[in-house]
Amino acid sequence: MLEVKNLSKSYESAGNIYPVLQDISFSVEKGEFVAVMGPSGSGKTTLLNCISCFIPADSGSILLSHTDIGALNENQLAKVRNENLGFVFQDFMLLDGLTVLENICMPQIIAKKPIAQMEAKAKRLCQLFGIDSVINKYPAEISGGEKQRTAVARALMNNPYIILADEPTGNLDSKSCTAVIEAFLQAKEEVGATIFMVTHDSYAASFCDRVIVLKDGNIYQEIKKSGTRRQFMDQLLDILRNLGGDNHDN
Amino acid sequence: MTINKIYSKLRKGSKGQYLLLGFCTFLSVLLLSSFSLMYFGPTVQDFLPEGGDTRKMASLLLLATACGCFVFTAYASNLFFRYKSKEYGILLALGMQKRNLRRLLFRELSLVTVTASCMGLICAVPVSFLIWKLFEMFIISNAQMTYRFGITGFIPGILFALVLALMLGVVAGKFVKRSSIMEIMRTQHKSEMIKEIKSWTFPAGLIFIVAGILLGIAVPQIAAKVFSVSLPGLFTNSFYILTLIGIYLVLLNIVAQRKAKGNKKKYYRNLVSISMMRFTAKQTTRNMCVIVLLLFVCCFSSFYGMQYSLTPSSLNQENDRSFAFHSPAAEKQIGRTEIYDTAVDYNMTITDYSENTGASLVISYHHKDFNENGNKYMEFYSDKAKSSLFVSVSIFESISGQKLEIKPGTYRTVVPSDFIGDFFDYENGLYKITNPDTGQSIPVTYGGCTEFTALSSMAEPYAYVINDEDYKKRTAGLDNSYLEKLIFLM
Repeated sequence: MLEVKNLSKSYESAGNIYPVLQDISFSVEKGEFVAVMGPSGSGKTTLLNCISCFIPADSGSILLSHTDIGALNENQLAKVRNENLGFVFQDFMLLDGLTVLENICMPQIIAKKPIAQMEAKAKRLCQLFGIDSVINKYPAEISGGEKQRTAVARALMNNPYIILADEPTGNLDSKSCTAVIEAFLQAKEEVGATIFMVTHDSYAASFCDRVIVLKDGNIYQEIKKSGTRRQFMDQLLDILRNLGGDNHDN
Repeated sequence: MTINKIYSKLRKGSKGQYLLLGFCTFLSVLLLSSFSLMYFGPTVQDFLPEGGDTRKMASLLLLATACGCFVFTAYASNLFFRYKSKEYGILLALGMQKRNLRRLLFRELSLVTVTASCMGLICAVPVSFLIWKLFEMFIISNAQMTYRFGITGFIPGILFALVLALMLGVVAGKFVKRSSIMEIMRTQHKSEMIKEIKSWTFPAGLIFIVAGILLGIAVPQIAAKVFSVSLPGLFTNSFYILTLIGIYLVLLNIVAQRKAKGNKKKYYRNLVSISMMRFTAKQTTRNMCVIVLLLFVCCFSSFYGMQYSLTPSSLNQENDRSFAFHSPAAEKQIGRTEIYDTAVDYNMTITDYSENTGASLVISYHHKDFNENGNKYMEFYSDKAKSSLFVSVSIFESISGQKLEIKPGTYRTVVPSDFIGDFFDYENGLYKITNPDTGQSIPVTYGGCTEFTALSSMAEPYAYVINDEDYKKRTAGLDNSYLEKLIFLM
């Protein structure tokens, strides 16, 4: 579904070049729930932004369903974002002037899909994620968990190849965090969604099928889930503990 | 649920932002159009002489107002885009084509700009009328001051509205062209980077201020006096741009450079406001400059008229007179009896009164003026060009109380108190006096200046004092019609 090959990205500031991603390669299969973890500055968000085509990479390729999206022009990219990608942001990024239903319908409104089908699908997704009671409310009137579930529903409207989530539980309390992760799992099981999530939350990552750990712009380790969720979470915590190195054990 | 309905809903949700942008545009167009309706109206245009200083000053004020209003509206547009950036960023992230977004933006901005500009132009008519009535009520009111509407007054307002529309279009285009969606989405929350303001900006600013003023004054003077060249006003006035840059640098430095030197207690007490100023240093400084510019326009226009009352003809307390006037000696005019009777009627005491005679003789003089093209100064010799007032030294002494020694064949030029001649003055230019009756001429040479405002105000531009003998010779056989009765009283 998604194949990243030799991706590199660096930023320039005050004449200095800072490499953020260094020759990263990995793939995500259809129906997989993959998390990317790592300490601050490891390049997680930059990786996501490159895959989303929000920022151009310096080198490498990003293949989405065998199409190199890095080689597309503006108009083609806009089409890919609308039809093939779904986004969930840390700060929700809902339109404050629209209701929950309208926000969810936005990708299909942009694509000019028939209204009746669009609204029916949006209502089904609302029921799936337990937000049908707030369907006519505005973002300012609902909780953080409900906002994020609205964002997840919006991301699924156009049946994208993959959902890209940037720290979706970053601004939420534990209860809301659980609700959002459950929404992702439901999307994976009921709709067959492929999810690629950036997170620093090992609890959220423990629900994934696979976790890629980044360090200083490189892939530090990749681990597949085996055993229970708790055991997987313990494994992740061990890795993250080791990421800090041996220099400061005292 | 169509995309247009969504746009309409989004617009309703951010009504305040549209109103703010619209109001700023309306106010800018209103201010400028009101000004131009009054200035370009038939009343003012018929009254002000062509090429005169007042026209130039009024044009300068119009330009300064336009600049201030432009910056003010540009700032409002930045706020508007900053607010709308999140909406537009989300739409782009959800796959909206940039060309559709561009179309949406231009449609919305056109609606706001056209509506606000039209309202500004329409309201400018009653507003300019009201301001005119205020002038009539508090400053001056006569038959010449009737408000007259002229269609040409709308032209600057319309042009300004077009410039604003163009500016908004350019800003919108740049906004859409930005390629980073993340940057667009986070613009609303993005803080202005605290770019380091170098410490050299303060001394550099001071140097620019002084240099701009000095060059603006000195360069045209040097060009005229040394090279006899009249430099174009656009070139010489451009030096003042250095002064404006200097003021901006100094203000920027003051706003951004506040450090805890000296009074640390005061610094930490005001830390929040200092950091907020520093944080938005450039924005704050730009706003301050606009405020200063508009205040300058207000103060300049308020006090401009007053400076005409402070002309060199204001009386010197020591040796001038309270009142002085002159009339042709041949005319029947008010005299001693009428003046004293008037004083009694108004309970006033005349402490000193004198009546004397002067003569209006033809003068030949050299002076500086522009050539035909207006780009070079040339020396001109005007032979028997005009008449001027002459008095004998004894009459002058009796009027002014000043003792003068004037050699035969020389003259003293009577000038106002604190006279400082400028480039065009020719106080030493007189070289020949001619009797208008007999046609006899004598050459004369310059013998210096004498200050006596009461007498100099009777002549344009100078009165002259000559020795008694010369006066007798020059006025011999002169008809009464060339004689002047001079009355001075205290």
